Amino acid sequence: MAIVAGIDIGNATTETALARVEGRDITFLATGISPTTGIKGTLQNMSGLRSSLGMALEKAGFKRGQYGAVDVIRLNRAAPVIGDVAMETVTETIVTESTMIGHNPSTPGGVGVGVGTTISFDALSRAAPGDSVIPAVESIHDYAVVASEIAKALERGVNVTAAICQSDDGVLIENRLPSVIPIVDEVSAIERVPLGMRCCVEVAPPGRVVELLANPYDIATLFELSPEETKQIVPVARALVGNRSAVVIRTPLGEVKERRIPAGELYIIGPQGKRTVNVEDGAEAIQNTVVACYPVDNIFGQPGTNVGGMMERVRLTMSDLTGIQIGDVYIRDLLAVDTLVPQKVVGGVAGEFSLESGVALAVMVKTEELPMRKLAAAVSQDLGVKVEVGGVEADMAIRGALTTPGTKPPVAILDLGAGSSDASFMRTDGTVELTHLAGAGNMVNTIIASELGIDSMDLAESIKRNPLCRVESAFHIRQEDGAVRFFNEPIDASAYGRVALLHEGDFLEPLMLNNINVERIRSTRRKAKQEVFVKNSIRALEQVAPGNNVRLVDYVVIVGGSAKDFEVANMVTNALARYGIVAGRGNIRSTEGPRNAVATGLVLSSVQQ
Amino acid sequence: MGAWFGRIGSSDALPEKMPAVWLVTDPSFSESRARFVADGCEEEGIPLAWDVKQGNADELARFASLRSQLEVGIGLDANGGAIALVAVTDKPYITRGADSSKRLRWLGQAAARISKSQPIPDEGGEKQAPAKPSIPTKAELSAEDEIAEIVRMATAALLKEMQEGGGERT
Repeated sequence: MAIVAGIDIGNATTETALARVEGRDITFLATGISPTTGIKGTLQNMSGLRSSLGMALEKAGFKRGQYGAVDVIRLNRAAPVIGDVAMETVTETIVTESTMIGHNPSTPGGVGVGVGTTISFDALSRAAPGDSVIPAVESIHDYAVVASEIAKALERGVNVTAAICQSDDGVLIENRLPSVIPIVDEVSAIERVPLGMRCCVEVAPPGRVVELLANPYDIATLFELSPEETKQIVPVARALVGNRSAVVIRTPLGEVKERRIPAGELYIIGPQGKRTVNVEDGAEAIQNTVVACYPVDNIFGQPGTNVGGMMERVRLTMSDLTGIQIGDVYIRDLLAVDTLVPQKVVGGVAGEFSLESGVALAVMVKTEELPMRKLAAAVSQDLGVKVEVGGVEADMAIRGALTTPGTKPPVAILDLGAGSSDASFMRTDGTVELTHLAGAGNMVNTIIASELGIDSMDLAESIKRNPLCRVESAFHIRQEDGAVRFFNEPIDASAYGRVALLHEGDFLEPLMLNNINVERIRSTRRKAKQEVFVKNSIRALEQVAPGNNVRLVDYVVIVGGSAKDFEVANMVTNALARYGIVAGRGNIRSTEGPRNAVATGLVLSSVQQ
Repeated sequence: MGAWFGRIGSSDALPEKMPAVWLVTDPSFSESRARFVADGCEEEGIPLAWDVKQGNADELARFASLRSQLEVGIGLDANGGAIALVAVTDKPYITRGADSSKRLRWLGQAAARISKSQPIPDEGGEKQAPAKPSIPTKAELSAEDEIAEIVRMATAALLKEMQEGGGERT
């Protein structure tokens, strides 16, 4: 009788399967899971490995640190591939010569369009009758004073067409004026509003968005722009689309600064030589070129361009992490996804962003054989347990996946992880075809973070993993599918009225994202998953299927951390159903769901050796 | 100018049954301070009805919420303020200090937002979180950063060429 621990060190998690082996009988005792520490295959993995194994031991009734109870540890021979993700804008950066305010105060005052010259609030009393002016009001002025001064000026015949306020007083001022003018408030950097310039303020009625200032030709009409100048105002108009209020101020010529950074070309080197594709052509063109170059030998970016810088950064990161010379880092696969990248609009007063088109690139780097034996020796010394390095990861994954009820060879396994999407195909005779592709959970996070403008990858991960809801009252939420849920206890006031993530155990995590509704987040999340996981699943199956024909695969078992996701497996199942494939989330040993396939395979292979 | 604020029983009282948030203060509370609360409500487009009664903030808020058509009430005493909802029976939904005009206005704004099913405003008043995302982008890099980046990229490319001996990139 022996206690065997199969331990799978993946890009994101370290999983353990603990079993009692008697002759050819295997009784699984417990499983453990812990985040992988460091890059897989390095000595830094030790701490994650201890914690994963400790968890399994504890669940099996041993003490957490009782590593001596284990007779043999079997490690996976991790695939020597590491994924990385990067993001680049495709559209060029243009600096405009106009100032704009495109933020969305919750309560602007009044309604309509006002055109005039910007003046300071103090200068309002000196404005001459007949002048069309727009005062910029600092927060030191009380709203009642502001309203009475504007009313006095109007009475004197000064044409006060609109106002820009620093404090949240728009409605209060408006309610005290004799006539309706548009007022944009909550402009925190009011001192950056240039004075003495021609300006247009627009506030749309409730429930509507600005029309004039979101249309380049209307802006051209207002400011008498030339066709060239109109071209340069486009980022401003785009940044204002969807806002309820907006301000555009024309500043004098001569301040025009334009800079173009070409997005650049990708050079993909395959068996037939080098092919070139321009990143501006978009994800589809890039992907077609990658397919044409299969199997890819290496990928470079054009030096001096965005994409050139990006590919070098990837190589540098990989070189730093693995200790391989930068010239020996080979990029073997690439997945491109069209996305939106928030670009700061220069000339914005409130830090406005315009969503430029961009491309997210995930790359797969092949490294030297990972030093698993070195790690095994270190683990053995550290824990005082015999350590073996098991078979190839893909073999182990298939062995583990085949414990899913209802499967038999020939079968394909899709292992959707954090760093890479792997596919393997086992023929009836037991031989295995295998591929590793770039793009998985981490790329989905990158796309979500970019499109929603989030800086925290933890938050992006959370958005990826949990369904959304909106807190509609102190006691109920409306979930993203429209269902209403009631709570017995009042929901915390900080979450009231907000979009929130519904974690397991009915824990609500409110999202502090302004002006982003449930539908927008949901569609971003689902699109990212479709583009990465569904596309990659088909791409991967094409590579391992007999004759590269996906239709010749009968069964597909989806495993890996990302298969646990609440919608990814369904999306893939749906997409593969069109090819007549039985596809579904694995259920390792009928109990583990899609997790623990490799660790289970490692234990099983200890008997079959 | 419509009616946004009125004391119950006075000549400027809001029309009966007008949808409004209710404010009930203890008798020590002055009208000028009540007006700060009203400002917060008015900016959100919600009228505020004001009444005076003996009691602590929690009780007054509860009393106010029961009289409000919008089922949201604010209570204020010398120690602080509370916002109560009819639906939340056992305690006020929000309690805060009410020591400054800014705080009072925040209470009014928060109560108005709740009545509109909107998130309560950021504490501390005017400063709003950025309406749009704040990922640092190329445009934010300074000129020096860019030159450094270009030099780094060029060096890296050159080193790579040298390592490869120019053989691979035909």
